[in-house]
Amino acid sequence: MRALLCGVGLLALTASNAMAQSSLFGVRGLGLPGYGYSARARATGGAFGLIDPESTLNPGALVGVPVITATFNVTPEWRWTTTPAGTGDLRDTRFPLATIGGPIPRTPFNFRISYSSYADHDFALASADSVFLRGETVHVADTIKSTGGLADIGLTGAWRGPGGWNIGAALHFITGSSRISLRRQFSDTAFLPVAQQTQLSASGIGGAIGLVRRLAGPISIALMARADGHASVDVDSIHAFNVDLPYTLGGSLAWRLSPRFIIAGQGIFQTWSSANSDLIQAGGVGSADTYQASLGWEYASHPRGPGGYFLRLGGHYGTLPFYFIQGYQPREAGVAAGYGTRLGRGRAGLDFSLEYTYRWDDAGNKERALMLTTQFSVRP
Amino acid sequence: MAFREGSSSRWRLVAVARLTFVMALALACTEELTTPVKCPPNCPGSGIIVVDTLLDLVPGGDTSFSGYVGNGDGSGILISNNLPWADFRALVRFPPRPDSVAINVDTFATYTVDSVTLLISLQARDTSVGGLRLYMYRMPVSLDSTASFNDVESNLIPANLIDSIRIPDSARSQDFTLKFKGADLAKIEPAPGDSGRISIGMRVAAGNRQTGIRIGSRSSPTDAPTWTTFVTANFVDPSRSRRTMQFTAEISVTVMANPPTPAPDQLLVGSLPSSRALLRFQLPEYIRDSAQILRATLEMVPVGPIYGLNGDPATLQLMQILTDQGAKSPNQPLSAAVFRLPTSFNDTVRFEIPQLVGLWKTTKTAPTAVFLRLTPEGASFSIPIFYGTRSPTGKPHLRITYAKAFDFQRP
Repeated sequence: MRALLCGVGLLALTASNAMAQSSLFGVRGLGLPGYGYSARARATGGAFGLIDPESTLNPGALVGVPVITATFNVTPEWRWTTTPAGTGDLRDTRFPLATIGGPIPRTPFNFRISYSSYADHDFALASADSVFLRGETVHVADTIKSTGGLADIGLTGAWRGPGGWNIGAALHFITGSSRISLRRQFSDTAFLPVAQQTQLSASGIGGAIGLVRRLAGPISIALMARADGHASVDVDSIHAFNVDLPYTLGGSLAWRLSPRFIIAGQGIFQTWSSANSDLIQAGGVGSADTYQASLGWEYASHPRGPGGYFLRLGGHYGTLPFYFIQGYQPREAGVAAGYGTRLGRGRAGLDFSLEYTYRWDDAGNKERALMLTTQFSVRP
Repeated sequence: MAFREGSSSRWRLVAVARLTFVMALALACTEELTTPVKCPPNCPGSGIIVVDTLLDLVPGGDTSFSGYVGNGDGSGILISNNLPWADFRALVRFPPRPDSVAINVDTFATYTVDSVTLLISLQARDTSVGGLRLYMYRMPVSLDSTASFNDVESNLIPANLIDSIRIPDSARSQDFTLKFKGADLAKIEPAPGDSGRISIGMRVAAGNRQTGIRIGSRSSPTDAPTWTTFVTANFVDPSRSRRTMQFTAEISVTVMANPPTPAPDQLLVGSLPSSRALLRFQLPEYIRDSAQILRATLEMVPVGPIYGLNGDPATLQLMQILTDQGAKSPNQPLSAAVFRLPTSFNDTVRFEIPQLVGLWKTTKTAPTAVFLRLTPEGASFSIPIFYGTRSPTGKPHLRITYAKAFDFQRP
C-alpha cells in the first residue's frame, strides 16, 4: 500500500513535466514521438522495448513485473543543432516515463497505470531578418517557443496464460497541450515587441494489444499492435482540426544466449502518413510513415538473485514522422549503453542509460543529442 | 551478518535515492537556449505579419477650445522685445494699501513711509542674449486684466518710468528687489485718488536684439511680484511704531501685440488665455479585435514654424480624457505623450502613443479622444497652430504599426 501511494505521488509529481526528448525534428506536426521506453530499453537502443516489463510499448510484457513496482525516469539532455541558419547548443531536462503496477494478488493478471510521452512539442527557435517599416529597414529577432506536448496515460492489463502465452491489452488516453509563445524584437525600440501566445491542446483515445511468448528453448518473441484513432486539436479551447493518428506494429525477437546474457532485436512500424493530409490541410508540412530497427544486449551479473548489476548496450536506426522541410523525411541513428543495479534485496532499482543520437534530413538540418536517463524503481 | 548486510544495503538505497532526487532537481534547473532557423519556412504558424497603416481622425471631431488657464493665471507672465511671432508686455497691479496701521485691536494710527521695495522674480530668459534690462513704468490703476497691448504700451513712456533692473548675463532664475526711499518714494507711492493702489507696466530691452523673459505671476506660489512698504506709525510709543505692509499682486497679465487668429479649420494650442485642442480618433474593428499594436504615432502638421524662446522650452502634451464632454471633458492627470518643442520647429509633430491606443483597444468604454495642450500653460512663448481634420491639406493622422494575430494552428 505504501508503495502504491508512493507511486501515485511520483506520478502526480511528474504529471506537469513529463515529456520525452525534445528535438529540432519535433517542431512540426505533433512533435517528436515517444515510445514509452524504460531506462533499460533505452540502454539497449530500444531493442528491449517490446520485452521489457517496465516499458509501456507492449502490454503483453507487463506480466514480467513480479511485484508491485513504481518507476520514475528523469532525462537531462544536451543537444547540438545545425541548420542552414546557424548552430545552437541546448540543454533541458524532462521526465519521460512514470509507471506503477504489478500483479493482482491471487489472479493471473497484472495491471498498470502509466504516464509517458506520446509526442514531445518542446522547442525554442530563433531567427533574424529585416523588414521595411515607415521608410526604414528595421532588423528583427524572432523567437518562437513551445512547451508541452501530448502525454499518453495508459491503463494496461496483462494475463499470464497457459503455455507461456503472455497477453496484454491497454487503453491509451492521449491528451496534452502546448503553450506556444511568439516574440519579435525590433532593432528600433520605438516599435514595441510582438508578443503573442496560444495554447494548442489535443486529445484522443487509442488501444493496444500485445503478447510475449517463449518459443523453443531460449528464444522469445514479442508482438504488439496499436491503433490510436485521431487527435482532436483545439486552439485556445476552440476546435481547429483533427489529425489521424497512426497504427503501430512491432515485433521483437530475444535470444537468451546464457543465463546471464540476452540479445534482442526489434522493429517498429508506424503509419504516420495517415496524418499527412490532415496536417497539410491545416497548413503544416506533412508527415510520413516511420520505422525503427534496434539491436541490443544485456548482461546480468546475478541472473537468479535479487541483487547484482546489469550491463547493456545497443543501437538503433529509424525515421521520424514529421517533415521539418517539406519532402525531406528526417532520420535518426543512435547508440546507447547502460548500467543497472538492484538494491535493498531487490526492493529498489536504479538504472542508467546514456544515449547518443544523431538526427538529420537531406535539407542540411542536423542534430546530435546526448541523453542520460536515470530510472528509479521501488518494489515493496 | 545478515543484519549488517541489510543495514548497509538500506544505507546505500537511501543514499542513492537522495542522490537521484538532488540530481533531478539540479538538472531540472537548466538554461533554455534556442535553435537558429529560417522562419517562416522552418517554423510552425503563418509567419509574423506586420502592417503599417494611416488612419484619419474623426472628420470634424477636432476643435480648439480656449480659456483653460486665464491670462495671468499661469505660473508666469511674459515680457518680450519685439519677438516677430509674439510681442509681450506685462501689467502688474497691487491691492490697495491701507492708510493706517493697527497698533492694538481697536487702535489704529496713521503712518509715515520710510521705504518701499518691489520684488520681481525672473523665471526664465534667453540665455543667448546678454545686456538684459527690465523697465518698470507707472500705469493707471484703472487698467485691469482686460487691458490691451496698446493700453499698456501707450503708457510705457519716459515720464512714467519708475526704475529698471539690470539682469546679469549669468542669471537664469533669480529674485530682483528694487528699493525706494527718500525722494525716490514718490515714484512708487500710490497717487491720490488711486485708493492706495499702484499699477506697474513692464517691458524688456537688450539693445537692439529681440528677446524675452518670463517672470513670476500672481498665481506663482513662490515667485509672485511683491510690494513691501516699511512705515513708522504715528504713535506715542516709538518701540511699537515700526510696521511692515506686504502685498502680492492682485492682477498680473501678459498683453500681446497680435494675438493669433487661427482659421476655423485650424487648431490653436497654448496662447493667452490658453487653448487646448480636442482630438477624436476612430479605431477600425479589425485593429480592435485582433491586432497587436506595435507603434502608434499621432502626426500633426503645424500651419507654420513654431518658435519659442531659447532657454525656455515649451512642451506639447497629450492628455487622455476620461469622458467625452467636449470642452469640459475631464482628463487624466498624467500625460499620455509629450513633445518638447525646440526653439524653432517646422516639421510634423509626432507623438508616440502605443500605450494609449492599446488602452482604447482593450477598454472599449474608454473614449478615443485626447486633449492637446501646451505647458507651461498660459505662460509660454510658443504658439503652435495645427491643421485640423477640416483642413484640405495637412490633416492630422494616426499612423499605426500592428501585428496581425499569428496563425499558431498551422502545425
